[in-house]
Amino acid sequence: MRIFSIFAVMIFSMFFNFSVANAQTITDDENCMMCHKYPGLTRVNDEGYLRLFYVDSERYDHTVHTKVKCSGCHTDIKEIPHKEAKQVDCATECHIKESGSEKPFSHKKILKDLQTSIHNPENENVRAKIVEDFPTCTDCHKNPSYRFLEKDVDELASARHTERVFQKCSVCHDNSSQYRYFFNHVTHRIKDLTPHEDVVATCSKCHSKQEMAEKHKLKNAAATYLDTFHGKAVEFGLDNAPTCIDCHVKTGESAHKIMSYKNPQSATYEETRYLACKDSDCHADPGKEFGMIRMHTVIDKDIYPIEFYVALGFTILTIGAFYPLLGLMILELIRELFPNVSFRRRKKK
Amino acid sequence: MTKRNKTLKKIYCILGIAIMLYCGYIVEILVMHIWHKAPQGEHSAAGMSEADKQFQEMLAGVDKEHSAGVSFKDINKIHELYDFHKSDREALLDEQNLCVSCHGDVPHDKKKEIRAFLNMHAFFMGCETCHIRTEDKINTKFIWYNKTDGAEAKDIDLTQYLGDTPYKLMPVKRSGEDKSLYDTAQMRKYVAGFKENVADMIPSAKSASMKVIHRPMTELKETVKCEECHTSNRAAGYLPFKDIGYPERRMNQLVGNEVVGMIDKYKRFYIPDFLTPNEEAESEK
Amino acid sequence: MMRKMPLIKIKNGEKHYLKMTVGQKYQHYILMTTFIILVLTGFPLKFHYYPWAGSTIDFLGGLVVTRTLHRIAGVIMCALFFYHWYYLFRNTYQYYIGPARKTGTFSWKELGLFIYYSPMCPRKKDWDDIVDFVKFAFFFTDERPKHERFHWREKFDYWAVFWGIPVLGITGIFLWFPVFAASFLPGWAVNISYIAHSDEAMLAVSVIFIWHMYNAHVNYDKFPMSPLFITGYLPEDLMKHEYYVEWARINKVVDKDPALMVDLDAEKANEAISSEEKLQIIRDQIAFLKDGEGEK
Repeated sequence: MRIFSIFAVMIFSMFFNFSVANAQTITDDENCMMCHKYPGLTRVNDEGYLRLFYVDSERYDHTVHTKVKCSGCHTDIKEIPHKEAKQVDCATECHIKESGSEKPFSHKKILKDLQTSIHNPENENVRAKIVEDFPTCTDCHKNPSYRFLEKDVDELASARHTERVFQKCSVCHDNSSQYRYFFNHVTHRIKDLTPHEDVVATCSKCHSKQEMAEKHKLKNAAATYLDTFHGKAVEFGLDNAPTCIDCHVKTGESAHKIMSYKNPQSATYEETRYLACKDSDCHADPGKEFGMIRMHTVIDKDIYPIEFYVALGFTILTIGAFYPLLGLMILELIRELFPNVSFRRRKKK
Repeated sequence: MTKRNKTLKKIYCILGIAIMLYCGYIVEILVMHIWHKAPQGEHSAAGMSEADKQFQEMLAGVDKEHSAGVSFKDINKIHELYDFHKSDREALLDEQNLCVSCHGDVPHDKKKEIRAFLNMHAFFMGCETCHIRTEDKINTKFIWYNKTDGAEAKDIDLTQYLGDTPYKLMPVKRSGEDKSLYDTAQMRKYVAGFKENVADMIPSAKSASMKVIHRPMTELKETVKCEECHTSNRAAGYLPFKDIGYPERRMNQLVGNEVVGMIDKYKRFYIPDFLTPNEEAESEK
Repeated sequence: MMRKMPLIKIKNGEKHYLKMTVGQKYQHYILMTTFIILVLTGFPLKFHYYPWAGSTIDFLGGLVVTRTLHRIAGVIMCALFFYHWYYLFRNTYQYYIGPARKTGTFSWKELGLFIYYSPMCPRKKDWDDIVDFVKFAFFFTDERPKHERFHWREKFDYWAVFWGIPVLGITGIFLWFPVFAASFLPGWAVNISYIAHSDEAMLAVSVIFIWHMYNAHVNYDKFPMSPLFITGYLPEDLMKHEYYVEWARINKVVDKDPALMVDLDAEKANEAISSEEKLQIIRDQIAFLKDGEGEK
């Protein structure tokens, strides 16, 4: 009887815990949610854009930042009413401890990687130094979900390479034995964090814009990519189809280290470009010339004259062959409209 | 050839020519595609996405229409620069309130320090709640109306009200044929007529009409202020919290030190001229 | 038309003239099927930015399926191309070189003439026909040019495919095996293969689906469909209207050798027996068997 009642208490307390956990989801010692729980907490800023100050606690609780306090990122908000808050600096050391190492956590390492990439306006290979166009963390990353719904979870085995998933995580986390332990512990519920279309969509935010490309003396990388078989495979949902970072980032490197093709360190450096194609699931044994197949072809006389003249030739051929035929068909139909009209009649044999 | 056959043939030929011309047009589009240096947006048949439009706006600079004082129409159109904490939920829009039909869901933009708070309240309170002061407690009462269909809610579920509430608070007359304080059938008709003709009106006619429309409103400096409801003296509060269905716990929060103290602090340090009408705002109304 | 096959079939009182042999008909079937499959699986990729592209691919079972279908159909079409070459050489040997050698009358000049006057070879007459047609179309004359077995429009279709298949086949192989292609060609060869493959396909599709369909099927005389690609024969009014020279030639040949004309109606009439005849057969049989019994 006693055992039974203990069970009853346990079960009851489980329910109780559950409902409490639902009501109070975020660690909110600062009571920010007193105001920020209201969906109507909005204003229009001076540029006419709507800003929302509402934090959906249920959603936030399922994102990777769930353990981070509001003031962990918004370090400059100290009083009420808040002064105009600065944009969050992702390199801030927040109150989270890196698992295994007990060091304060921050995204500094990634920012450092980004500094080496072409997305740093100070990079010597940058063609147009328009600083405000260069991406910051939040231009590519929104607050991503972490604890997925059951149906969203893929087996790790279905990812392309376990090791690559590991490398992806080690971009932030120390590549140590402790980390590997944690990694193996959580990978049964890991999801392919970025579906392939998402990578393309992320890069397309800037690289599909014609004005942006012209401003930076580039070509429309997204449009040209989508015209290749790679892009079409991603578009039509082929598994393991290569996205931007599959070619532009060296295997095992941080996805933030996208470099100019002029940089010998780059995955797309001409001499070693074919190695980016080399993969047991992609092109098994490419030669050096294989890397020279262009993936961002634009029809432009000055850059790619061969492609330009071939395209011109075929266009002329098509137009030159088809339209005269079309003309003849239309003429015939017009002629059939007036079968008995003619300038000169021949006698019938 | 019979006459009927001849007519058929004529119809056939004309249809044929039309189809041929159309085919030529289609082939032209398909063949010439390779020469287009169009941005990806042009490729999709759906045209520009919302994000693309916002991007265009951003490139074009400040959006004149929005900065000109006309309030934001749709609370769900968060700018992508500020959507890190975006919710997957879509907020319900108020399709009933007559004020919202012009002023939008995000109506407050003048007082920098408190506009977000005021907009937050506008999410679950009709404009009339504060902007029409009803001293007459005998003939008026506060009700919750449904944002979508306008139906009066008997009792409200507090959890729902804290989230994306489908209800808004509004004062109405206790009796009478048309219980509305502001959006009477007559006023609705007048506003509809005004909106239709406003483009052709001369400025003086326009301001006269605006005066008529805003006449039932309490003057700005007389509107209900924060501390009138959020007061530690609960009995003297403007809103009858109990009558509108708030449970004890909620009432205590609303008049507790956290809220009341904050308002006090606001009043003393930041905005001593809080709700003092400024000239510009007045003339616009 | 060297084999002794019926040049004219009479059915329901109407004469039908032979235009395509059985073998040619099957070649056309294979070409038609593979062409349609290739278009269905290829065009959604070329025009990936239209909404119908995605739904077509989904309908066909996804990218993996369409890719496989496209390659299978492509290989079959290329095989047909090689078969057609074999077919041309075999005919040349079977109908001229072989017999001429045997009879000792072979001459290169005659071989040239054989090829020049073979049905699909473009000749000066085709050019004249085009000029005559343009004159007709511009109301200068009232008379259409008189055509042989294959007129200039059909020859255009034929030679367009003849040029198109090698272009599409070779570029298709490069796109299928880019590593192989880049092992002996510069990288841009794959890029231009891609342009050539898709642009040439666009030309083929516009010519086949508009020009060929109009000429062979939907034009006023044949609307909505010509029986030719199913039966291989054309009814006399069409034959006379469109292929006057061929019509006259076949008539002449058949005049000389009436065995080349098969009267299906007469055959049917022969096979049909009247009630009296049926009874007669039965009664004869009974009588015969009875007689046999009586002899015992």
